[in-house]
Amino acid sequence: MDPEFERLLKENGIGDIDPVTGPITNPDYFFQRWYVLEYIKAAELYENPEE
Amino acid sequence: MATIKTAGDIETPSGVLTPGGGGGGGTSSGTITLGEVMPGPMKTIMPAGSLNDSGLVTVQPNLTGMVFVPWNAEKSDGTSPFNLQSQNWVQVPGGWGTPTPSACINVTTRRSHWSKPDDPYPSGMEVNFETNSSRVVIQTIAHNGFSSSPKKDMQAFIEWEGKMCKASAMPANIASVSSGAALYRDLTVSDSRANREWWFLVSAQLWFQGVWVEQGSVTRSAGNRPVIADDGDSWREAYDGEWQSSAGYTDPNLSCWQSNDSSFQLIEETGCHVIRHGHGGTGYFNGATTGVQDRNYLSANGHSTFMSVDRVAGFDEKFHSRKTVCYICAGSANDSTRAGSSANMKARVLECLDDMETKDPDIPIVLIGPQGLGDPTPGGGGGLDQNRIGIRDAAAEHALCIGFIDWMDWTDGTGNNGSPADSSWAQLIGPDGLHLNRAGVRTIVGRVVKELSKFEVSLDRVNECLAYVSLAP
Repeated sequence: MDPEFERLLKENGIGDIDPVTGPITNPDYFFQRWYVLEYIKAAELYENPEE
Repeated sequence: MATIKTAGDIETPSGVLTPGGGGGGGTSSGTITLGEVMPGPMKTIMPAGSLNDSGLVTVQPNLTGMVFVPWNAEKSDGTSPFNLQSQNWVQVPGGWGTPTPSACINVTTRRSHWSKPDDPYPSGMEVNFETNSSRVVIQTIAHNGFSSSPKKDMQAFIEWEGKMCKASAMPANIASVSSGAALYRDLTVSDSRANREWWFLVSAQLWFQGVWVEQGSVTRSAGNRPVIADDGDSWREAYDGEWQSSAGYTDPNLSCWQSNDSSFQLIEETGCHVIRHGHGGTGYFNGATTGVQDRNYLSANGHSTFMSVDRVAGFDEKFHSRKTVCYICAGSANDSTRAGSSANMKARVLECLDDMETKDPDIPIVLIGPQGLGDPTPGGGGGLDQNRIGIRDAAAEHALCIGFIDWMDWTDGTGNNGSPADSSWAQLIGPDGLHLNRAGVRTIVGRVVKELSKFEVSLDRVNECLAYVSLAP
């Protein structure tokens, strides 16, 4: 992975949380789910920058 | 059986607030309810036979006898032929296409994207004008932008016999189009009466280039309307229509439409222009990252907390002169337990409101509490309930607030995408488990507007808003 992209992800906390598949009793479930979705989207775009 | 609760079921019902006459209330000019200010819903469909609509097409229509009005056209007095009350159009950045086309995006926040921190984050766009041309062709460029979604859609409202009508019940859409392809919508009304208003709601994934109108016709900005600012989390995200992109357009209710997301539905429900100012993943204590953030936090891609120092300054910089008749800040479930207590939430919200007041001492603000994601129990003492109480109490105390809307208990249950069948929430949340599908957008925003309509603003404020002049970008 590009170091710059890795830095941006780290700066935004990616790596500090796990993708959430657990029960909704986790109070941060929705935010963490949003976060993972955004991470996936960003990663896909980085792989296909012309998109 | 799905249940939509009434206001009477809510432990702390939404309420009209009158402390200090917020939003400039109590001025000598008197007040008026937002319901009276709103031009009214635009839900009627154009009558059969009144409109020829090509839908979204990649093949350029025959444009013989037509003349192009580019996005950055300037009239002799410096004004734009488009109404820009809620818009901030900028040329697409260099490198977005080869060669970079003459086209614009609507940049309403200071956000960029994680993978492209130097590039602005486009928002859904309103293209609003008046012309006596009976045929209008809108020209855009499709791009996947910051999403891999190939689908695009666009709604259009057209004045017909004095009323704004929808061109079609559902937005025109194209399930898959190549990034960089030209995309047109060719519309012709069946009569040729004098000036009429046209109002396109354009996906953030379309760069706007301009409109074609008949030679000899006159195009000018449509008359001003009240402007509402719509702030919050990904439910009000500048780009949120992409969230359910995997759902396609197969089910009109369970799918999500980029041109019919929450902020665009607010336009359809009120007839007002809407400034899209949300940041996905944020709340009062959440700047879209882990941990707890203060009001000075700013991520590399411009994310920050609700009414953060940067967000307040950014709104002031771009939209101060618009004198919105209402600034909504909605949510957020993203705060979860970060505030720690209702008192902490109340203190943070008051700090935000004080900052807003320094920029615009008369801005009428409506706060909406955290969503019912995960079926939290009002009065149950959980994190979201604590946040709800803190936000509510801050709204009741601050002079800028003209109202508080509590939507936590409007629905029951959990789930998404229609499953389980006995959860009202599951009917309203799309396949990503987080964001409203079309049924959710219509249900929730419709009800928000019902509450919003009760709140009062000063007539002075409304007049200031309507006095805005749309200068060419």
